[in-house]
Amino acid sequence: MSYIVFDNVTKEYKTGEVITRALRGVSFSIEKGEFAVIVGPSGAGKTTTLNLLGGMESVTSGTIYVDGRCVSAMSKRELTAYRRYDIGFVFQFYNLIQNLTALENVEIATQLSRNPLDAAELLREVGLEDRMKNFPAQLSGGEQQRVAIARALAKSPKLLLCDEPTGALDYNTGKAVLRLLQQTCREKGMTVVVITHNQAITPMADKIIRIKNGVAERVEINRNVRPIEEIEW
Amino acid sequence: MVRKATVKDILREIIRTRSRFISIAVLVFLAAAFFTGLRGARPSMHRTVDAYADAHAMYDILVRSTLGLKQEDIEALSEIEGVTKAAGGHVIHALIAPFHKDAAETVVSLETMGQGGINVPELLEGHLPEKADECAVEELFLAGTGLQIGDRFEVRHLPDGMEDALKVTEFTITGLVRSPLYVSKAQRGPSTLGSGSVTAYAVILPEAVTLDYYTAAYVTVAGALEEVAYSGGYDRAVRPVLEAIESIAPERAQLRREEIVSEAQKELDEAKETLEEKKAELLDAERELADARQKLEDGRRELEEGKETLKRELADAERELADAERKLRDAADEIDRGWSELFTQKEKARTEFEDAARQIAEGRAELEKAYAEYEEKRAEFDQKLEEWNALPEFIRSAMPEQKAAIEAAEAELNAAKRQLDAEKEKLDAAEAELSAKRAQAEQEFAAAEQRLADAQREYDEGLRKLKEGQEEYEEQKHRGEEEIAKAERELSDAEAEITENEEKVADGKVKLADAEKEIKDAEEKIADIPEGEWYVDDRDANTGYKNFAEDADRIGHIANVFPLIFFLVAALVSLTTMTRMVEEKRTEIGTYKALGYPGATTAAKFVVYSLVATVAGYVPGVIFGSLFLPWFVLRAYSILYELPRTVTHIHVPAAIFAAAGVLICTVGATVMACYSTLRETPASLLRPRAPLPGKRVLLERVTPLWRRLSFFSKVTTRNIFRFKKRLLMTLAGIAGCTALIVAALGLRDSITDITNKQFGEIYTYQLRAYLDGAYDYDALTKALDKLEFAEYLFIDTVNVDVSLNGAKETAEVLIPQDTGRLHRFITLRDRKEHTPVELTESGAIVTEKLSELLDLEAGDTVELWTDSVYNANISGTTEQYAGHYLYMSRAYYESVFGKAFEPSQILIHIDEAAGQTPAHAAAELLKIDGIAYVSSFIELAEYFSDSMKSVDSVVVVLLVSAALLAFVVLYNLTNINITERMRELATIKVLGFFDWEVSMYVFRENAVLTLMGVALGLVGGYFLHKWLIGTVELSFIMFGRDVRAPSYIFAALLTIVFTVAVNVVGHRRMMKINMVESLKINE
Repeated sequence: MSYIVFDNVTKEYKTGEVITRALRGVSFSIEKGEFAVIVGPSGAGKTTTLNLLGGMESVTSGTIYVDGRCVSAMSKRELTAYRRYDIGFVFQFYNLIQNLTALENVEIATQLSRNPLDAAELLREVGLEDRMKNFPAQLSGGEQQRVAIARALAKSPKLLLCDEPTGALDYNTGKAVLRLLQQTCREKGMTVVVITHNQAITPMADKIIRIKNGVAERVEINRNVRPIEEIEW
Repeated sequence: MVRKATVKDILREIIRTRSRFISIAVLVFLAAAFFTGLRGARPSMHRTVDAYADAHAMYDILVRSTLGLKQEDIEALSEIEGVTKAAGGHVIHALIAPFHKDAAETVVSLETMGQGGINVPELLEGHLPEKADECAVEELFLAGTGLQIGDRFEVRHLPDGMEDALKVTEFTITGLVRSPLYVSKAQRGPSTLGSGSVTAYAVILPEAVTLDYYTAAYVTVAGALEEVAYSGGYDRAVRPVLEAIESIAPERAQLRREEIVSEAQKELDEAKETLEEKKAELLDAERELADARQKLEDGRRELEEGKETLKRELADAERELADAERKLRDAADEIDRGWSELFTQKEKARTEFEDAARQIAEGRAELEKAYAEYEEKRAEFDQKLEEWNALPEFIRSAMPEQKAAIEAAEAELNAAKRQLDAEKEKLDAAEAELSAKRAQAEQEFAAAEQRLADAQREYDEGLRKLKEGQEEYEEQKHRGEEEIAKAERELSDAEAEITENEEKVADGKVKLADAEKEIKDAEEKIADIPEGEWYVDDRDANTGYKNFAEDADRIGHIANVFPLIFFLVAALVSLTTMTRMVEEKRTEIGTYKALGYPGATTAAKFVVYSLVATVAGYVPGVIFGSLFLPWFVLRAYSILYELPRTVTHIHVPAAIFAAAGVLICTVGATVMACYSTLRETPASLLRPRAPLPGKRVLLERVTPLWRRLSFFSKVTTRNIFRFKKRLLMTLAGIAGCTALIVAALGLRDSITDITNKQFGEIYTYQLRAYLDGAYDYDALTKALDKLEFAEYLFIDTVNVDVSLNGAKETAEVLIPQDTGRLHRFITLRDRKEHTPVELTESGAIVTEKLSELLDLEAGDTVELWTDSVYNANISGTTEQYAGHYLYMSRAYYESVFGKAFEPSQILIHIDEAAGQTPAHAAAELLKIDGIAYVSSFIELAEYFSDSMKSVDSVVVVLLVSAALLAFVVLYNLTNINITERMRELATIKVLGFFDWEVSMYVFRENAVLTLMGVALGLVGGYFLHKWLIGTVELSFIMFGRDVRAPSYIFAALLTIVFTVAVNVVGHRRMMKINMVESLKINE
């Protein structure tokens, strides 16, 4: 079986009398070491998919397998453990802890993991050697996002999930971040799933999952993977 | 439309964030309740007393005179402008007991109440006295004597000078009363009788009193009724009348004095008159005595003279008698001779005469014979004659012979007869001669006899006279002697009498001298009659009334400080909460602003929200506080005061102040919170707020320490110091909670401390025996020695007012008979160090609270006021918790007061470890002659613990409010904490923190803050406790000044428990955080 399998996953939200169907039967799979991109219009259900994949929410129906484990059947506690050890999350708005330095933000993740990587080393790798003692408020957006990536990587997770990582960044910075992600994917063999509404970057991915109206409309395999430097938009 | 939307909006918001809404409301409630309640407590207390006083026409002004007041004084008082009523009353202390012989005696105050419509007592049961021997009593009276309504008691003793003040000596209790004159449940005042203090009062009728003066006058003032007791208006109404009374006082007092003086003077003058009379009498008596003496002397002299005369006379008489005797003897001899002579002569004569007689006789015989013959013849003749005569005449005439014969016969006869007769005549003559001779001789003899007889008679007479004379002499002598003797006896009697009388006179003189001295004394006394002085007081002279005001003030002090805590917290919580709320609504505000709504409208929403919360808390708070707290306080004080229904009211100024306060705290905080946000441009508002930049903590600079901290410790430390406001608030809340608990428990400690320390460590004796007025010291000590289980010490006590620089307090001077043994009964020591304090000959030891109140130091000299003023030097201070005392050694006492030490009480120490019980010992002691009664400390200790229970209630209130405070603050804080860091928490949840790890992430901070807060609170509590003690203490009690260690520990633990509880609740909330939602929030 594939590394990641989504099998007819539905997700419904009930608020009072209103039932919102975020996903209406999403199915796809992602192989290990793949750089997958999930695209779709706003409100399609991309984030929901990622959240389900990341164990932040539970499915209403359907199954999700990651590395042979049935994530959709996990208890809350198991999900927490799953998130702890197996997932690295990168948010659109970084979500760094303001009260901790860059280094400490990464360290907070290393404290959790079973086999963490060296925080300082990671930060160096992402090019923030000089910024380790700075607080997030003292970092630019791009730097913050790199810290976030470092934090996500520090746990040496199985998956790296990124929800619109470049959404708050400018063109160049965004590109740099994407490059970093691509690099990580290639060099560390990490499975990376990126959500974006920017169609233009789909060429950098190995797999493109198009989600529309709560279903995975199309799952493409990209034979022509292009390095991000070459992509312009 | 906007309005409707806004209303809906606000309502929804309220419901949505109800915990926030409730927090604010609760804090406002607490602040408002405590503020108005406590603030209102004092006026409420004032009003309660006022209502009570007004309902029973309590006096406004009390007038007392050193010389008593008369009806004229009362009238003079009622004529003063502003006086509505004036009436006189009597207060007489008496030592009473139920009728049973061994019943304990109690000192009570018998008073007339309700006269002139002033000081009308409140009848609770039974009826008011209607007869002179009835009385109505207060509850304390029944409790103190064990009597019931319907029982009787007798008056055993009255104070000096008032021995005849009552008409009756027994009273029947007819009812139970209560009076505003005695709101206090203790402290009925000192007395010169019995134990030295009055136990209770009883209301009697004026008819029971014989005094012709009033011991006090009561005045009510126009306008005072409308004013509230203790208020400025009341004082203003009363003051002018008081001054008016004071202005007439000297004159009236002088009048009274003159009256008394003139009365006394009149008596004195009368006495003097009598004295003079008596003096004159005495003088007369003396004079008479002198005369009598003189007479006696004269009499004596006369007697002597008389004696002499008698002697002389007797001697003369004796001589005379002797003469007479001699004469008589001679006479007797003569008579004897006379008699014998006479006898001889008589014999001779007799013989002669006899011879003669014989002759005559013979003659006569013959004659006789002759006569006989004649007779015969005569007879014959006669016969014949007769016959003759018988014959008729003619016969006779016929017989002339015969006639002749007869004639012849007759003639013969006649001749014979003549012869005879002549013979006879001869004889007769002879006889006659003889007779004559005889007669003569007889005469002579007779004469001689007569003479002799006379002589004899004379002699006899003489003898008789002599005898008589002798007898008389004897008699006279006898009589004379007797008389002399009698006279002498009489004289000596008289002398004796005189001497007696002289003694009497002398006695009388002495008595007179005494009487004169007495008069002199009385004169002096008159001169000493004090200048009449009037003491004009307002109600402050009434201890209960005044103390109540002081207690009310105490509550007022608490009211000033205590609620501030709540206000402060309310302000802080509101500020943070509303700031949070404004933050949450940031985008909304931005949107409204962008749409064109003025900032004010947007702000209005928040203001209204907080306003509604405030009102929701304020209104119930004010009502609850105003109604409940004063009631509660009064109930707490009901152990000390007897008052009817509490008067509660909404204290409007306090309510307004509270309203202002809470509005500032909440709405003001809201406005503050809004202000900065609303100043931002809509654009910046719509952007997520730049998160607060991280900052290095000071602690980080301490590199060695910082390095050692674990990662999460560093996180925690940073987090703690990141939000200053929250930090302060949390610390304030926790510290406040701890401090309140420390203060509350400390208060209880201090109070229980008193009982333990006072009655266990300081007073090591258990019983105090009061002695009778007269007792036999030796017999008493013997009896006490016999009681093997007791150690005893004689003491004396004097109730005084101690004053220094105008400040005055009542205290008791205690003098032990033996200074060296005092420590076995009372421990004199320094409170902090427990070093013993020594009682020396040169100063008094004073108790700590007293020295605090009067600001005394060793070396100060104080004035002691009793019947006179004395000065005493203070040499040290000793630990004491109840009452004020001065300890003096015997020698010092005598040198200060100039009176000899006379024991009036005995301190008894029994060995309770040996199984002796105070009750048993007391019973044994009462059996001893000379001991009037025994008081045991158990009762006293119980009284204390009872009266302290009122403060216990305060403790509970403090504890509960502390808990509430802590809970609300901490809950709020935790909520805010969580809400503000939702994103952060969601992030770490995403990172894979387990639930408990997430909790710990936050709660580590809470834990540190709690510990810091508790530490601060312990310190704060120490000071709060000190302040609380100072405020709550009654003047005559000193509470223990220390908080016991367990209290601190308990306070800390309790606070921690609260914190943990809050955290547990917060934990649940945190679990509910939806990561996805939280992370989506665009802030």
